[in-house]
Amino acid sequence: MSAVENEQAAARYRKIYAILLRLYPKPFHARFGEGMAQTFNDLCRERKEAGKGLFSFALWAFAETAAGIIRENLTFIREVGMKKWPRRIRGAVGMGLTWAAIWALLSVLIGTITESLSGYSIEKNHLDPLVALAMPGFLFGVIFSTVLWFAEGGRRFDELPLPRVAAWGGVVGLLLGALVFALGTPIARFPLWLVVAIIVGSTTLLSAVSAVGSALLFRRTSAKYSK
Amino acid sequence: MANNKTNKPLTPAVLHILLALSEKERHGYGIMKQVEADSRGKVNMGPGTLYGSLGRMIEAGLISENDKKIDPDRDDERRIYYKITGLGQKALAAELERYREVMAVAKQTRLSPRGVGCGK
Repeated sequence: MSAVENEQAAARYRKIYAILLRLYPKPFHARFGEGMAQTFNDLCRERKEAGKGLFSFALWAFAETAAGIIRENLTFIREVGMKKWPRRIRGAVGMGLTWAAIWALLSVLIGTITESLSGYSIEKNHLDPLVALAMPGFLFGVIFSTVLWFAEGGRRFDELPLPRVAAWGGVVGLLLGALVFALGTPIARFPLWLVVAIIVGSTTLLSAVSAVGSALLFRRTSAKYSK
Repeated sequence: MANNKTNKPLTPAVLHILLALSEKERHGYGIMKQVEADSRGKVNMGPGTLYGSLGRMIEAGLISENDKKIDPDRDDERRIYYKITGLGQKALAAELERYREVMAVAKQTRLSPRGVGCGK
């Protein structure tokens, strides 16, 4: 391999290594990421100066670092993650209750409008409107909180921009709506696309709105308590 | 991992890092090269093992981080240097003493490296 090719390969391996380093737990990466990248560069340079190829070295370094990533993540989960579980569970339940409240209000609103327009009473025929959407709302809220924690790496809820929160809410609503549809029995009276659009569309929209609503509520509450 | 409070034996990686730092402070690559030299090329520590051990050793108070500075032998970017602490020196001394005791027992039972298999 020529010196130019070796240099190009080194640059490529450095990029891959930098990406690999991001898989370490955040605090570890912040503390040692730069040093590890420097050490990897030094080892690459040493190999180049000795006129040796980089492929086998890079493979070894990636494998060795990957083992370190697994070890550090397990340690992180054990030491830090477990301590935070009670707070996370409380947060998820809180989110579920907030969503349940939002969905219950909407449920009452839909029930009232339907009854006044068509005379059809949800309460008499099916369920208490307060409970009809409150239960799925709670479930969607808990799942949203869990998804958000995994996707945003434990960032505080009030630190996230509202469009991002709305997008995550929408994603959760879309997936769970699709799941609800898949588990349910299609209503033969209506075309399939319409049923899908109504169920998945409403859960997506409702989840996005609930996500933004709960974020605004959370921001307001934390601002009040931080004064 | 080293746990000097309970006097548990140090892991080979920790022992080698402490040995490498016993002479002077070093950066990551410097430690790696010193470990390789001390072990006559037998211990080849990668960045994953090295920095994982450094993290745990800092937590245990065996070593500490120094400010970033440029390595005079490598005129490039600034690096973090690591140095052994008083606790680290004590842990290293205790570990070496343990090795001496083990060697003494091995010699008594004629199991020292040279005598293995020639004890009769």
